[in-house]
Amino acid sequence: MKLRLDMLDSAQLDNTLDHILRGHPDAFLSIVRAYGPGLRAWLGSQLFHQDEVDDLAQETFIAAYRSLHSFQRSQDFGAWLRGIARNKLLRHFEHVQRQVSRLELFRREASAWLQDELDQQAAKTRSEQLQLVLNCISQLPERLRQVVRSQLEGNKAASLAEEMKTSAGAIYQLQYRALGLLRECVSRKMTHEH
Amino acid sequence: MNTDLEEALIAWQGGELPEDRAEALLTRLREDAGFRATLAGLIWTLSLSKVAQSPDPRWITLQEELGMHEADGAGENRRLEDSLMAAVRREPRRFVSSGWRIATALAAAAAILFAGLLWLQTEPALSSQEVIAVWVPKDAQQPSRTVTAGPLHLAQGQAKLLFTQGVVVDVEGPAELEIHSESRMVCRQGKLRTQVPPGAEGFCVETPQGAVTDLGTVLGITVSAQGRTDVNVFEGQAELSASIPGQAGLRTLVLNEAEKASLGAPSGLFGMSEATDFLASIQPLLPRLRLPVDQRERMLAAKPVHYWRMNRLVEGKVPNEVTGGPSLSLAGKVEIGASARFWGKEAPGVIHSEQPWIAPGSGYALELWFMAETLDQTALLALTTPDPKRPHLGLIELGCRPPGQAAGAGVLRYLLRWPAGHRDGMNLFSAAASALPYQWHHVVAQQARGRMELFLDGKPLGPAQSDAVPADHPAMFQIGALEWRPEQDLTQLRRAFCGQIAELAVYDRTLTAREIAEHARPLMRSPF
Repeated sequence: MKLRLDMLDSAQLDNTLDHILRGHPDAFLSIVRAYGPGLRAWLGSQLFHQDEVDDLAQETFIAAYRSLHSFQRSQDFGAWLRGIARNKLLRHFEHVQRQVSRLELFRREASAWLQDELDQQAAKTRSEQLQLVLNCISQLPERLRQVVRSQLEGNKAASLAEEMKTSAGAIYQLQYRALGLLRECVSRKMTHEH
Repeated sequence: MNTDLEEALIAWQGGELPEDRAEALLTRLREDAGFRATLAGLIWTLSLSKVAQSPDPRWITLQEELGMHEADGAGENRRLEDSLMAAVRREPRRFVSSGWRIATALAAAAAILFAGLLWLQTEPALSSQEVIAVWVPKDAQQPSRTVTAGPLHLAQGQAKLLFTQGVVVDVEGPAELEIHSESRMVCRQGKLRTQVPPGAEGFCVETPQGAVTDLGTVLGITVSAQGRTDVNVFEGQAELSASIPGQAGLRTLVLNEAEKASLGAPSGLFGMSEATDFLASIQPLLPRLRLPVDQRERMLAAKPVHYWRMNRLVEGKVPNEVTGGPSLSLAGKVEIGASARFWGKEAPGVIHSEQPWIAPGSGYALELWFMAETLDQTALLALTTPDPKRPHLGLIELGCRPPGQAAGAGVLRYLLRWPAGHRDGMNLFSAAASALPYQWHHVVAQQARGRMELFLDGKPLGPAQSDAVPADHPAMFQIGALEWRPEQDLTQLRRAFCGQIAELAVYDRTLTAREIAEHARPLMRSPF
């Protein structure tokens, strides 16, 4: 995976937007590179499957590209993108045809209560953090690293538990511990960088 | 430990949550701002870790929206490939103990330059170019590649070597290896874990201090930079052997399950091993199948007669996206997530139709996506008659060795039999390494009045003309195994597939090359 570390400051963003609006659509890729990881992370905090996350992220960028002329330059571009993504997300929830499970209902309701906090997390996240997260994952003890890398979802905890000869509950405990260590590690590295 | 936080996080990921706990957790979310902040922080870290570890998405629709064409992305990919290949050193083959540390250092420097796991295979000194194994990097930053005889260097990271005979060797760098044949390799440094299935016993790993012969086992072998070799038998038996300086004798020792020993004494003696850091089994990250957002609509627009996405279950069955079409049933272990996952011989499973489909002799097409996790000969899709003996009408399968040819890996086969049977038929084979494991591939197999065509990743292979022209005939679908009968013992399931299958579509016509290329387009790599 290639990590994109280039963030756009407001002048760069203005230049890029001008360039696109003057008929250079490929310049939109700079925006995708700069804002893609954060947008995917935000959608990932709302959705269960990574495939759905990536599909909605793509839809969001397409909608943003089509509405670029309506973006007010004084606005926060990341927040504007998340606004589009939020609408896409609502429509997605409305149109999902399969029966919604009890856990999905819990997740959606919890998600609604966490909107402000997740928005705050998104607003202060820099794309450089992705590289730090990777570095920090590599520093985790082996069993914690194994759990984080397996990206638990659905019944993966059970199969990983079988592989690691432990229980699904123990796997979630390891993950909980790992996430705490990751937060500390990323926070420490961010502090050092400043 | 904070139970509420842990339970909320588990539920967030789809884990089990007692019914009475959901309301209590939601109440706490409503009322406790500190709880919300901490949970949001954990969820955000979880989400960031997923994004950081997942491959860049292939946003084909966005590329189209921006007016970008395949060549744009291909150009960038070519440049990346060129830069990677620039790091590949070529060096003469060396013997086990001569100056290999220098080569290791050079390889490590090249790999560090490109900041990640980079495997380097040099020009083999042996004349044979026969594919011996497939190299699968754990982190999927590099695609799987075939391995012929010659040196292999792994500066850092982990990888899996799948030998065509069935042996699996997990590797952790820094590792300095040399592949000699399907049954012999040299390890000068590194951590290995070998798994040798029945039929491949005798697989030998030569080290600077002696040899380890796997007698049908799971072994851990650690060779230090100084050449000290530690062996741990996890299952089965292994034989250690070492020559004694100054004489022709060869000292041997059989190790049983749970026994450890070291090779390293200059006298050729075996010692007790205190090593504990043996390599655990490596599971490479599985790439996701990236499809357009409107994949379902695109596929339905091509008017298939059946279309099973394999990404959901309705009342325990795989639903047909074509209105009124029959669902597919599951037997054995098959997991339905973003695609259908099969577990091979370890836990056989199959997806199958309950009612026959009348396959038109005038022509039909079968289309699917797959990603294998082994090199075994395994069936992707079998078409049989409803007869209890399930004679074959058609078969799409993976294997290593087309008849009469040298061993390969990732060979795709399309077989057409008419009349239905178990013995003769007309085949189309792909070249070796066309369908390597741990990579998604798109396949279309179709026939019209006996004229067969096979398309792999949008590219045509064939055609071939069957001797006899099929008539309209009832056909049963079996996905992930050679055949399935309702009364069958699952442990006897033949050629059980290990990997993932998705997006199976069946047409009562043949597809055009242009349609197939369009359907296979998600394989095109994204430039971002």
